[in-house]
Amino acid sequence: MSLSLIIIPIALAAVSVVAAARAETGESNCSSVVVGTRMRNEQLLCQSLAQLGATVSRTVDSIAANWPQGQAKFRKDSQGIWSAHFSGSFDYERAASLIVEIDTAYAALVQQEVLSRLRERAPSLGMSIESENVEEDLSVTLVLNVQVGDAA
Amino acid sequence: MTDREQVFLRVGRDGAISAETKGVKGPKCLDYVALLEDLLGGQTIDSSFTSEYLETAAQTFGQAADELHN
Repeated sequence: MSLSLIIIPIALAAVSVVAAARAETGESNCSSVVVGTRMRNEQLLCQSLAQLGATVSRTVDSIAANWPQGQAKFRKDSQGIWSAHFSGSFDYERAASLIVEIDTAYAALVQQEVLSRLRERAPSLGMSIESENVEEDLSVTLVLNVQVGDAA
Repeated sequence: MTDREQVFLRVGRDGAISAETKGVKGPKCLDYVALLEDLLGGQTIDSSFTSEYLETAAQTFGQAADELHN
């Protein structure tokens, strides 16, 4: 082996799954719990929310996810990372636990997107897939052959 | 031993990707950083040389030393 890399897809920020939570009080004096995430991709976030049974609606700068027990409103920060503002019956523990569930669904979608991109782009970069396997932990391992002279 | 160049990838269920090149000699392997970022749509957050790179670098250094002595 010659070089070993860890790569994070652009749909994910290199931060923890659940960033620091804080309580916020709005103008109406209603408090909410805010939980940071590592999610960047709006479309994948909406898909993962829908997978978890939320009714999802989008505005120009936010995504609202509604469940019977309350709402999470997602807003993007200056670095393009979404944070969730929970209202209703969500306390911090329930909010953080829900973010972990959303992140798990989101990460699975990111995995599929990475694999689709890889399959689509590999030939034009001088690479071919020699083997592809799904492992017990649901990670996917691949061996790519490189046509020397075309790639790198 | 084979001369062909290969990339071993693991795309985790958590979204993280690990990659290792094999059969890529010397500093050329650094070109793979940008290539794999393009291929996978990601950003490298950690990288390290492995024994193959170090062996190749040592061979290159040894050859250069021999040439100097001759």
